Amino acid sequence: MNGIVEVHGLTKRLGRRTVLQDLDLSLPAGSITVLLGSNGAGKSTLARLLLGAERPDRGTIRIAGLDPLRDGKELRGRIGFVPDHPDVYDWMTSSDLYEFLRPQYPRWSPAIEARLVARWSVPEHTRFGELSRGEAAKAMLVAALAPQPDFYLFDEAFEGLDPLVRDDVLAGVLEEIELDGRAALVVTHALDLAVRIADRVAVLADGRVAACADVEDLGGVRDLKELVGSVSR
Amino acid sequence: MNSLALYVRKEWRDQRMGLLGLLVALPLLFAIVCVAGDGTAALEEFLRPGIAAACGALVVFFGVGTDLIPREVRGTRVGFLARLPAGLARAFAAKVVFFAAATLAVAAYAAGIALAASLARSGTLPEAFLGAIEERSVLLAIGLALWIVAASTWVQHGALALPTAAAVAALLCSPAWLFFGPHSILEPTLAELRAFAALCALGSCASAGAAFVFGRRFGANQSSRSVLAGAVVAVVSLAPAWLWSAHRLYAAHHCDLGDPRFTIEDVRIDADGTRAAVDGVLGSARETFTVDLHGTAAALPQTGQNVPRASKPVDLSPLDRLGPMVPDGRFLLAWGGDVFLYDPGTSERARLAVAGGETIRADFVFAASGSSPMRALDLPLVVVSGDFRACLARLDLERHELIPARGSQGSTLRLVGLGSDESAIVVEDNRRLVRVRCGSDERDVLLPAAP
Repeated sequence: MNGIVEVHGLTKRLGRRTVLQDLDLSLPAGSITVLLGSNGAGKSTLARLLLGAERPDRGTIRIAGLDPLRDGKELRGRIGFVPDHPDVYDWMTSSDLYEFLRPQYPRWSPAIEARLVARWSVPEHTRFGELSRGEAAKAMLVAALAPQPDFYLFDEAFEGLDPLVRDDVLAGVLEEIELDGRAALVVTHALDLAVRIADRVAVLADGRVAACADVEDLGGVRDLKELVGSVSR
Repeated sequence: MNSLALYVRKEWRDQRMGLLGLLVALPLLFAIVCVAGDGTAALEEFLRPGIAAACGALVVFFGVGTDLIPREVRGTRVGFLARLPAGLARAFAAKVVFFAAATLAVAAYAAGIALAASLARSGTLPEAFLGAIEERSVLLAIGLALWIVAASTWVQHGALALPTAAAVAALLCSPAWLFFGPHSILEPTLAELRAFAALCALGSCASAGAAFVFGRRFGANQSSRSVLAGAVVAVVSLAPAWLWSAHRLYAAHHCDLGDPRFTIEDVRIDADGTRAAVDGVLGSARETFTVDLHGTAAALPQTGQNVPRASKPVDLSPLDRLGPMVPDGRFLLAWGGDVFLYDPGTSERARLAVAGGETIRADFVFAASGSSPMRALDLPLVVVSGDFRACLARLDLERHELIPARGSQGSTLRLVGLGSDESAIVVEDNRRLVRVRCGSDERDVLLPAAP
């Protein structure tokens, strides 16, 4: 399979603990994959490895044919990443952040930026340190979507949103994600969110992708819960 | 606006409160110093613009520089900077630009305050921006402070970060400090100190860059990788200073025979006459060289032993140059380019011929052993000097002639040893140990040895 993201035999140890063990994962173009798993399953570690923020102990990672460590500079411009907590400077406003990021991403779309800021009512002149977690999450999502990357990586990006706002945000994300020749990986604990946006779900357990299924083949959240429960036991 | 400018602006946004605080604090500091030190010489020094600028720069080093990178590390901002396309390298470049600009700006500001304070106190501007002595201290202080800034970027941040950084910087700089420091016996030149300060600027920048860009790039163990990267680059950067210090230290205890300042101070020949110990001097360096005399026996010249004092010579013209006394009580005397035997009792003078028919210009004649011209000569070796050239010669009183050693050169000669075969060992021009032979043009340079 030739996916946008190809991971083979990935092993990562943190201290004495093996977090990922011979993990294989392929994210085909045009798909949104949700990565599920219990706490400590290695979801965020995998996200960091995909970003090039960690060095694997073994195995290969290719994103759009590029190695995150060797081709980091080029690849970082082709990944739209939202961390679980905003990692930008507290004194920055979303307007400051977009101004800071804009020259670094050649495909940055001011139209997408303006559209999403307006749609989600992102406060443009309030410092991140003073934003609520949901507001900050929306601001970070704009920063990940406006560059029109080849690979979207959302690490528990929707956790701080209240349910009503989250639906609107998810709708906006689904509308703006351009999946033609691209892929998205959403790391989350929220099964309903997975069912809502994913084409495929992958469940991490024991350092591997223990289960992988198309959402269409699953009946709903209950089936997904059973799937996660079965591999996590 | 390009991304570097955006990063620099980010630094300004990040550091502006601290920097503005310094701008407010500096005039207060100057005011306090002026009040406390009024009428003291130290105050006059402090109000020199160069000293004030250096103080301003040091305040930026410790107030801003030591927090430029630890500030990022304390939060989660390194991860943010690392995941952006420009990466940590661009962020670091912007930090360097910002730091340099802030240092220059605050240094200029401090110099301006000093000028204003000086004008206000005395109505005149200071005579000098920075004296040579102050420049030495300033260069050393800036060099060490830059390493403290660099080390603060790669030691573990926390309450003891700055003292730790200072200790690490002191450890790094100590080998070079022995040479460049204020108590160095090697007396580094101002050019060397400037080069050292420039090396510190480049090296500390490279060390901080390696610690930040490579040490914090990814993964766990960032702190230890940062220390490793920073320390390795620091050691490599300071290696030229250490090597130069070692070279200077070596040179201080070793004489380069090819150096034109080298002089032979003393020569001692051992009891069997086969080896000579030569004490050389070059600046503050002293070194003793052992020279093999190639098996030809040599002895120390003995002069002036058991010789009665002569009566005071008379009937000499101002152009006569009286030389040493010979065993029969007469004197050697140089006049008109020739050497004469002069009898002070009768005022009779007899010209000495030069063996081989060649002439030697003789403006002066000395006992070759260096004894006083007024003392008797035991050994019939003399140095004839004229036209800035000296020639060793043996005196043959029976034949009334001088037998020159035509291999001798130089403008000064000092006899240090005698061979059994009419050879002599001399020091030429205080820098060459040479064996020559009277009645011959033989010449064997013993020190420096022929390559």
